[in-house]
Amino acid sequence: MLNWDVLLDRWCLGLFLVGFGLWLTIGSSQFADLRRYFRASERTPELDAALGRRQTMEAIPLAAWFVPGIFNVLLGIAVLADRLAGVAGYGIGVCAFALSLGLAYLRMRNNGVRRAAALQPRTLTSIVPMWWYPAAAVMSVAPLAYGDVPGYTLASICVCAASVVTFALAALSNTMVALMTGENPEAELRVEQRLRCARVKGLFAVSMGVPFVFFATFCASIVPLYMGLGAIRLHKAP
Amino acid sequence: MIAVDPRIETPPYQQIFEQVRAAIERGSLTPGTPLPTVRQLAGDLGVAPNTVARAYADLQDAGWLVSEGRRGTRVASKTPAADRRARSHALAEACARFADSLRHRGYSRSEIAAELSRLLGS
Repeated sequence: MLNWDVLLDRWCLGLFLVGFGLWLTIGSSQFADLRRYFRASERTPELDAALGRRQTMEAIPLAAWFVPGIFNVLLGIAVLADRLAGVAGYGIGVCAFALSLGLAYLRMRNNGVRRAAALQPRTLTSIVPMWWYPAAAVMSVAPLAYGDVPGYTLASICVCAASVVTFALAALSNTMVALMTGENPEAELRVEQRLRCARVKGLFAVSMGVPFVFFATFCASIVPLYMGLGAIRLHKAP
Repeated sequence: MIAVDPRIETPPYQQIFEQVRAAIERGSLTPGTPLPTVRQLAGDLGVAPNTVARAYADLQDAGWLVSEGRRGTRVASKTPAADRRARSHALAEACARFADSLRHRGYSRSEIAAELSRLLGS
């Protein structure tokens, strides 16, 4: 009979890592396309041109998604083959993903010719309320509490590191320099604001979501809750 | 929104000065509006922080901005109205210099007028 721990640690996390890796790998070209931040009805030729310029300035390579994607697939296979503990694989996988996000951020920050600016101050609370910061900080370091649990030491350190890195990236993205050439100020400002808002919120979600999945693996009782939430979502009217 | 064009002769700090002042005169920046920090604006424009600091200092000296220490820089509650005349005078002078330079290069009055009309969309 299949043990619940084996099912959770090996199969659930193994398949999760493979799925996550495939999602990153297959979706890499889509993730790199900045047009996904705007609905088709919002798009105009001017906006598309501004998005094209922005994409050139950011110069984030497809490898930023592709490499951690492949790495996560390999980790998932190692977990499924029982060569690596599920939680350890998860920790290493999210660490690789956070590292890739960090490198993409540095590349974006140091690239491009910037010539235009909005006369609006950017602060840590421009996009998200202040309470998000302590919430994300607590969530980021909480995995360390599981550091002395046998089999969870490496995973807790890796998950904490990944969460702290994404939390720092979220805070830094809030105040990062604006990437605008000034060719079409209105469209570029719209792109700048939309991208900054989506990325900051996305990074906060990742920084809090990564430890949450880790806690879920530890407290197996959360898994049925997951399934329940999934069922609610599946039956939601379109 | 302001932009710095490195191809024109006007120094970057002067370009920032003029554009911030124009934004206040247009009403895009109302009295009391907070401005970005020197560091933020310098980073966005790709210029040295000293360039923005100089523009801000000049704008403060001219009465357009007020510094509130750690709370940052804001648009002054009473902006110098008399400067509007100086601004229109400066525009007239710049246009005259521009037209003269084109005439010296052999363009006729009608050619210049036609091209300007096309550029300005009138």
